[in-house]
Amino acid sequence: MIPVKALSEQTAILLAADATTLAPAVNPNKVGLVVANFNPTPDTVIGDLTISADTGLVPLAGVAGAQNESVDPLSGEFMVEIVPPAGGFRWETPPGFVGPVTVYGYALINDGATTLFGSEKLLTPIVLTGPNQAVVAPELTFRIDGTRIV
Amino acid sequence: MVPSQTILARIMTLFSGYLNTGIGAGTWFIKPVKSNFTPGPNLVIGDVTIDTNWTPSNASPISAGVDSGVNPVTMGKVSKLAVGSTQCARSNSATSRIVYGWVLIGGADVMASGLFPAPFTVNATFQWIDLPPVSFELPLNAVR
Repeated sequence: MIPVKALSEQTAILLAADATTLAPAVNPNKVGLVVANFNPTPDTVIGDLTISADTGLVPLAGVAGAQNESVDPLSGEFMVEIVPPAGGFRWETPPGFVGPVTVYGYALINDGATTLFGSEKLLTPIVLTGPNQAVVAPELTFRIDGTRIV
Repeated sequence: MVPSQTILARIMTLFSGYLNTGIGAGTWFIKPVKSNFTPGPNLVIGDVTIDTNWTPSNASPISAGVDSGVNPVTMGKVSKLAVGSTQCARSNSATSRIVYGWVLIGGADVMASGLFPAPFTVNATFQWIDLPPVSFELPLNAVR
């Protein structure tokens, strides 16, 4: 059964506003740096990932409440955009940092670090070898192709 | 971002809740269509000619109970309306017409649509058709 766009878009609208997963009213979700190689799949769980807890590289909290929902004007996909905090999802190695620490990607997790909501692998890992080196996450989104819903 | 199973399942749980309580809750009907049409995301009520010559008339009541789950074959996430008391309808008119498919109406709007495997002619009373179950599946590769 082929849904109309107004119906299929509800998948993104509801997800962006879902307090149980992406839009908690308090204790916003966090984005962490994955520092061991991984291959993200829907079956990946938080225990499969090594998320950095090093000073300066700890998971960063996003924004509580509803995330952004929109339609990609190019692809028509419904997008749920994880709202970054002020300054973005940006990490910087502190003074005295020696490393090396290799960043393989990002993980979207709940505040308590018990649940993985999504993960993204970098095309090229980033190797941190000293102080004052920054990692800035790109726009983190879930994209839903409504035309595939049948 | 690759979604986890938590997110994939949650999408259809939320979607099921919306089908239960959203647009025209309790007034979802499947209506045969007697004009040729192409099901799609932009279909509106004005794009189809509904065949009202069926009993139950003015659509068949579909249970508002919606459950989410998994298709065991594809492992896609699904939302399905429970089977209603009427999943078939009989023609109450001998006027010949061709039936091409159906639309799912929520409130006054088309919510979804589909085609029968092939158009067929209805030209007598007590000719029966089966109405499709209301089911939506979110394939695993639909979310990235």
